[in-house]
Formats: sequence, C-alpha cells, structure tokens
Amino acid sequence: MKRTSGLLPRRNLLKYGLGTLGLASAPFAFDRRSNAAEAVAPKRLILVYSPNGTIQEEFWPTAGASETDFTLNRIGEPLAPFKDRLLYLKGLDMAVVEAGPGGPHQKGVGGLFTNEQLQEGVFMDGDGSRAGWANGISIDQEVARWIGQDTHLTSLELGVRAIDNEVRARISYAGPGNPMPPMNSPSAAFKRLFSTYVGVDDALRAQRSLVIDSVAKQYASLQPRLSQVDRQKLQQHLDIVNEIERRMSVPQAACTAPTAPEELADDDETTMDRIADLQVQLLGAAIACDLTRVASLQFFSAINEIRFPFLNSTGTGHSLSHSSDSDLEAREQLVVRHRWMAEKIAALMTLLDSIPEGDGSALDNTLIVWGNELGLGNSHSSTDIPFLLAGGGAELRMGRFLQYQSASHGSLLTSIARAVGVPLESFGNVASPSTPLTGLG
Amino acid sequence: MFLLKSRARIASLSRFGFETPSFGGSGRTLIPALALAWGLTAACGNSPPESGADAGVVAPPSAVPSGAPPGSSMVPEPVPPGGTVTCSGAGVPSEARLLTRVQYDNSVRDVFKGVISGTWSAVFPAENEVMGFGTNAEFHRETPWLAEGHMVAAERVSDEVILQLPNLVACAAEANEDCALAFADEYGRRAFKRALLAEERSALVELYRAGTAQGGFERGVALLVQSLLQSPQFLYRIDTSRAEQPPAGNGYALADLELATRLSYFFWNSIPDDELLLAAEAGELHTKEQIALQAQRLIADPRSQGMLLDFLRQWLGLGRFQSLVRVSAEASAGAYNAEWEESLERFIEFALLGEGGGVEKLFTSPRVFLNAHLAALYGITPPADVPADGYFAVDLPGERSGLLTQPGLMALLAHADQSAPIQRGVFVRDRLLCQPPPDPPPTVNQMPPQVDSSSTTRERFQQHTASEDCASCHRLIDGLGLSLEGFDQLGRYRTTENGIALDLTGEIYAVRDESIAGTYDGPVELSQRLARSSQVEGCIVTQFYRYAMGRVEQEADLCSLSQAQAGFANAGGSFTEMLVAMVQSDAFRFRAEATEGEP
Repeated sequence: MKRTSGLLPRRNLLKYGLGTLGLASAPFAFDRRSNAAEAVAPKRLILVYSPNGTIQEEFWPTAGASETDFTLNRIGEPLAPFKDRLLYLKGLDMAVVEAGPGGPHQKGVGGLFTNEQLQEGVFMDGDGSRAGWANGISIDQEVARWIGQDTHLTSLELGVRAIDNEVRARISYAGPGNPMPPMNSPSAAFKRLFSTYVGVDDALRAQRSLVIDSVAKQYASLQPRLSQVDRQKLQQHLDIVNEIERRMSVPQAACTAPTAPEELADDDETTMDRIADLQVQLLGAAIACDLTRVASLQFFSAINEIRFPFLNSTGTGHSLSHSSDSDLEAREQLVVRHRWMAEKIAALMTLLDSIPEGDGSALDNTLIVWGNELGLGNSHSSTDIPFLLAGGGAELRMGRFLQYQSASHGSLLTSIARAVGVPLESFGNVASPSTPLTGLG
Repeated sequence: MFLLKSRARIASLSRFGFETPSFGGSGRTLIPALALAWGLTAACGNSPPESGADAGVVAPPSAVPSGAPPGSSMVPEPVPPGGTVTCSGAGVPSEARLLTRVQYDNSVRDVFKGVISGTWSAVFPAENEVMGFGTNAEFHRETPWLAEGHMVAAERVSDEVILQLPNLVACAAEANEDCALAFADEYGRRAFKRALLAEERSALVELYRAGTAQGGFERGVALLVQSLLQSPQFLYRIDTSRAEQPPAGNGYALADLELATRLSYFFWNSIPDDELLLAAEAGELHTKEQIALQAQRLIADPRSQGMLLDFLRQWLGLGRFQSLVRVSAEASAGAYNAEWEESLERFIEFALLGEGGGVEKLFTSPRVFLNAHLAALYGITPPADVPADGYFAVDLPGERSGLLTQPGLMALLAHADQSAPIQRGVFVRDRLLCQPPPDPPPTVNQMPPQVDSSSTTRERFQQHTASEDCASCHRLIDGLGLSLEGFDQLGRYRTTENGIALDLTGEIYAVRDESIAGTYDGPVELSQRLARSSQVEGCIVTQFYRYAMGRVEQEADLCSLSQAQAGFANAGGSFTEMLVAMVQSDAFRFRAEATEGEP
C-alpha cells in the first residue's frame, strides 16, 4: 500500500464516503511532506470500545500452523482486506477488576484502559453494587500527554449512543475520577473540530488570549476565599482553560474544513448506523488534517438496551448478552452486532490507508486497539478479553494471532504506549502486572 | 399559606429534637430481603451458561460502604401533621457547583434581562448523572469539551449583546470607558450575583482597554462580556463568605447574598433577580420568615415551572422518551414519543403543581391529557371544543388513577413489544419508595420472555422468575409491577390479554411504611395506597433534595429532610409547601465547614 502522491486523491474521498461530509468538494489539500518540521510521521493511537462481552468462538481467528497462519471467523471477516495489519491477542485477563468497589460491567469498563480499580461512589451496576469513577488516568490520555501536545485537540472522544452519563459509559480518563465524556453527535463533534480552532485568525486568537488572561485574574481574586475542595476544583478548571490557550496557538498545517454533517438524533436506532459512519469519517478527517493524534471511538455504554433492527437483531443489548450459550438465535444476533462494529473499524482503516503519509499511509502510523469490558457477557468473565490491535506501531509485528496464558491486560496497555513512542515501563495499578507484553515485535 | 410553627402535638424522635423516642432509628431505608441477592448462586429462569470460568458463581460485594448496603436510599422519618422538626444547625458541606446546561441558558437570559436568549448550551456535554440527577455538585465538573463550549457560547452571547447594546445600557451611544464601566457594574453584579469586588472590576477595565485598543468600544465590551461569562464567579455557585466562628457543634450560617443565590437557583435554576439581591444587600434575607416569604414569591413566578420540569424529567427518567421504540400494529417507532411525554408532563403539572395539587392528587386523579392522535389510540372521542394547543383533559375513573396509570408513563416503562412488569415494579420501588431493589445476579437471563399469544405477560414473567432463588427478590418487585399489567406497552387500559382475564392482584411487601403493606387488587388500589403513604412523601422529598441540593443524602442530611417532610405533613401533601419548607431547613441555611483564607 505504498503511495507516492502527497495529496489525497479526490476519488478516494468520494469512494470512502468523505464526499458526503463535503470533503471532496473542499479537498483538504493536506500535504504532510510540505511540513519540514515533520520529517518523521507522527504516531497516533485510536481506542475502540464495545460493551457486554463478545462471542469468543467468532471473535478469535482459527489458529493454523504458525502465528501468521490464521483464519478469520465471522466477527473478524470484514477486516480481511487488512489481515496482514491485524494482531489478535488472546489470553489477556483483567486481573485489576478482581477487587475494589463496583459490579462486573463497571469494573471492566473502568479498568479496561486504565488498569485501575474504581473509586467508592453511588453509580449502580447491574448487580446492585455501587462504585464511582475509575481511579486513574487511561492509556489514551497518558499517551496524549506525550504525543498529543502538538495538535489543536489533545485527544478526541467520539461515541455512538454512549449516552449514559456515568461510569458505565466512560472509557477515557484524564486522571483519577476525571472522565472524558464521548461526543455522540457528529455535528457537535464537527463543530468542535472545524470551527473552534480551524480557521481561527490571529485577531481572534489574540482576543481569546486576552479573555483567558482576564478570567485567570478573576480566579486569582476568588482563590484566597475558597475551601480546599473548591480550590482544587477551580484550579482544575483553570488548567483546562489555560490549555485551550496553548492548544489554540500550536502551529497547524493548512486544512480546509469540510461542510458539516447533518444534525441527527444521537440516541436513536434509526440513525445509529449513519452516526457510526459519520464518526468514522470525522475521525479520518481529524487525522487527515492532523487535528488530533489520540482518539477513541466508543460503541454504546456497558449494559444498554440497544437494538439493531437494520440488522434484523431486535433483542436489547444487555439482556441479549446474558443469553445462554445454547440460545443460538441470540448468539447469532450478537455475532452480527460485533461484525457490524468490525465493519466500522475496517472502514476507518480503509480511510486512514487512503491518507498518504511519507512513503505509506496514515494507517502505518496509527495503532487501533479494540477492547471490551468483559470476555463473555453471560458469565461476566474478565478472562480472554477480546483484544485486537490493527494498523501499525513501532516494534509491532502485525499479521499474527498470539495466544498468551493469562497475561495481564495492564501489560498490553504499557505495550500500546511503547508502540506509539511513549516509553512507559508500567501502567496503572501496581498490584496488577503491567510490564510490557513479550512477543509483540 | 404555609405555616411552619406547629399547632398540634409535638411528636417524638430525640435525635431530631423531638422529646420522646418513638420514631427512633436511623431513617435509612433498609429492606431485610435485600441481603438475599448476595447469597444467590443460581440463575433465574434459565440454566447457567455452559461456558465461562466463573459461570454460576456470584462474588459477594467486595466494598460495601459502612452501614449502607448497596442500593439503599434514605428517606426522612414520617412527621405528623403539625409537627416541627428542630435540627442542630450543623448544616452539610457546601461545594462549588458548576452551572448545568439549563442553568447556563437561564442565567445568560436573566443576566441580560431577557433582552437576548438562546440555547447556548447546545454545544455543551450532558452532565454526569448520579441516581438519575445531573445536578450533583461533585460529579458535574469542567472538561476540555465543556470549557471550549463555555468559550464559544460566551463569544456568541457577546455578539448578541453588542447588537442589543442600546437596549442594555442608556449610554451606548457615548461609546466611552465610563459607559463600559457602567455596563460592567450593572451586568457584572448580575452575573457574579453580587457587586463586583475592586480587583474583579479592575481586571475587567484592563480587558476592556485592551479590547478597545484592538477594535474600539464594541470590541472592548464584547471581551468584557466574554470574560464575565467564563469567570468562575458566573459559572459556579460558590459559598465564600467568612462567617463568624459558630457555636460549638453548629455549622456556618450562609451570608444573605449566598442565600439569595441558593434560593434563585433552587426555584428558577437561574441568577437572583433584583428584589432578591436588594433584600440580601439590605441584610433582610436570613431569617426563616424572610426566606419563606421570598420562596413564596419565587415559586409563584413562571420561571419555577421550568425548574420543576427539569426535576421531573430527571426524577422520572423522561429523557428516555427520545429513543423509545414501541412496536404494535398501531404504533411505529417514535410515532407517539413526544405526545406521550407532553401528556405525562401536563398531568404532573396539573396534579402535583396546580391548584389543590399534591401527593394525593398525583396518585388518585383520574385525569389524562390527550390530543386527537393519542385519543384515537385510546379510543376516546375528543370534545367539540379542543383548546388551540390540541390537548384536552378527560377523566377516566376506574381506569386511571394518577401517575402510575398515565398512558405516557406506562408506555415509557415497557418493552418494545410487550409491557414490562419488572421495570414497572423497579420504578415504583426506586423512584417512588426510595427502596431500589438489588439487580439480578450476573448469570440471570434478563431477556424478557418471547411474546406468546396463548398466555398473559404475567404468566410468562412469573414462569421466568418462579424458582426459589429468584422469587425472594422478585416478591419485592413483582408485587408492585404485575398489577400494572392493566396497561400494555402503548399505555392502553386492558382487562384481558389474548382473551384471558387478567389477574391484577399484587402485594406491597417489605416497605418501611407498614400502613400500606399487604395485598391489594388492581392499579387503582395500589395508587390509593401510595397516595396516603408517608414513605412516598419522604421519597419525593429525598429525590427533590438530590436534585436541588446536588447531593446524595447522608446521615447529616436526614434531619433537614425531615424538616422538608414537615412541609408536606403540615400542608396536606402540598408539593410547593414542601419546597418552601426545604429552603428553611438547616441544610439550606448552614454549611458544615468554613472556607479558608485570610481573616
């Protein structure tokens, strides 16, 4: 998939649906090689989440004679065109969820990308137990501290009907108890990406700086009269505001904003397929314009009542995931749902592969990580979490199916960071092993 | 008129200042059967899954907060009519509260005297929700997305302000610094909910000058507006007064201006108006009587309706109407969603908030509000004189009795293709009785049984939960939910299903208010029991407290909850009088800890 042209060919935009976003009519002539400062292509990380466990037999490939010899099964089939860029990692367990407050879905979704337990709190899980937020930063946000500083957005959190505003619908954390909410509306995400920062001229930037400086003075005037709790809360707020000022000023390659996607109800089974497509396209556009290098795409909340009538699957999400293994009809519904998510990941990979970068494509420099808070929905198991790496990363040999014996998922998180150039030795809860995974290179 | 002072006998409860101990106890709602869920080791309804290492094994909860079992809620002790509740004045902790989207839009509207308005917050993320409420002080915090939203919204508001400047300050034509300062003083006082401090004012002057240097008077004022709207003094409600050291064991009394802000956000979700600010500035807003007088005024203002609607939507989960899917020959996806919500909100407004409204009417009124589309669905002939907005009221005694029998609520609490007795029972327990039941163990199959035209929903669900392991918990839920089988997934009244006569008997079981416990027949009788229950009143107090005070109730809140409940008891279950009592409670008037800083 080598490319020589520095410009994104118009035909690809149309082919992969960016035309509907208007990208083709206003081609973002984004020529990374024209930017002398970036002789080395940037590394990127995209986390993808889906809830309630998977159907193990259809998620994992069938192993052949060697690591590189494997046959995709029904969930993975849509990714077949990129088989040599997939790295299936079986046998990773989420030991971190064994202890601490909360129920299995809560602990799983909170621990998946943080390798941390949950705080005490009042969010209720499916089994009645209660917990708060995850007690640590997530790997995307940690990575963003290293590789997310040179773009307008440090990170971008997108969702598809991840509408619950509590621990069950948060995968990304800026720090302990500090979740990053996903944007479920493509039109809102579009505005944030392409009108808050892109196209802002020097005069507006200067005005914003003046206002932010003045706001900082108002904070300073309040500070001596604040309780300790309030002081901390407002300091965090001020830090975020100051970050906007910094991010606003990072040098940005030229990028013409596409026209906006349509407004859609963001919690609706008749729009969710379209929303998923638009979110994938926005993610591609954000990367093509280098507006962010760290992102997540979250399908739904852990525990949900979502149906897929357009796939003739009308069971409701969480209930369906609790079906017995012998319920073949329910199982089939779950397979087509996970396969649908694999199709969206394949679309994202296709899009990234169409963006030229150096001698290859943006896909070469983007690591996509697909995970789930459970191994199996009907038993709430935290073993054999369905992890799939896709795209490319430093020292990652793709095109393989690796099977570990109860390795810690914390180790994977550390390895993810290293693959995008962030030299961590460990990540998250000290009691849950997180030394880098062996055998990835 | 609301009277706090008791006329009748003073009841007991020493910990709350009563004289005899007959109401002793923690006030916490405990269900003995709650413990059963943790002991379950087998699945309900279905056999355990064949695969999975931990199939069939349920771990006990590993971290239960001391004394509070998971899922417990607290409701105040019953207070007899005429009772007063005296608390220690210790107050509860006060934490800076970031404006919600509703509060942001209201506040901007009122800062600029209604001259400009808009849904500026459309670009903000939804608030994090705690027990259904997005107002929790601890959990609603700034994020990068929200901060960018605050910036963009402030810029848009400032554009509007500049266009409307002549309507906002008389001196607009003079376009000089004096005018900008007059603007800052007037609108800064409203945005900051008090007069600007010297250093706040000088920061604004400096910004105005810098803006003017860039783009003249209008640019200067625009930047000043942007700064006001992004300052913590506007975006948060913060108690910063340094009150005198209170007597031992007591909390700090809030300053009059802080009470003005608490009152206006409590009743209006917005900034204090001039009358509140003037009363506070004159030092006339701290006695219970002064507070009650203002509360009566605020609740009579139409702005309180918006607040109450916001509360109802969160309390009853009405946001879910947006994505509701109900399948039947008559209803395609979404066809009735907005109408069901409208119908339900009109009913609650009528029954709880309207003339003579209160808890009893909420559960016993036979009224429903329909438009022609809904009327056709329910087989009602609209009257000749339907009001212009399309909705008319009709009384259906015997068929409908209050909230639980409302078409919209029954449609909300349903599966796509059949009623949902479990959801309905859980709703009554969690939202109306404040006794949320434990959820099923993880191995349970939560799929509703397949629709089957040869049986009733009750029969199918009962089969599903018949095993001994399930039955103990389901007794808590099903005894409430199964009588509501009198309504299908579209909220239609029915006495038969698939030609089989429905059994609508039920049992109110393991409730704190024993006067309502026992078997009953049909949704009307269930509603009549709830209508006279002190536990339902107490639960409504708790739910509103969570919403308005932005806290999940703890031991320290219980006495104040009882003070609010006394408002119900003393005014025959009047919801608005309960609110007036709540703002006179200790939790509203005191805070537990001092702010720091220089003396």
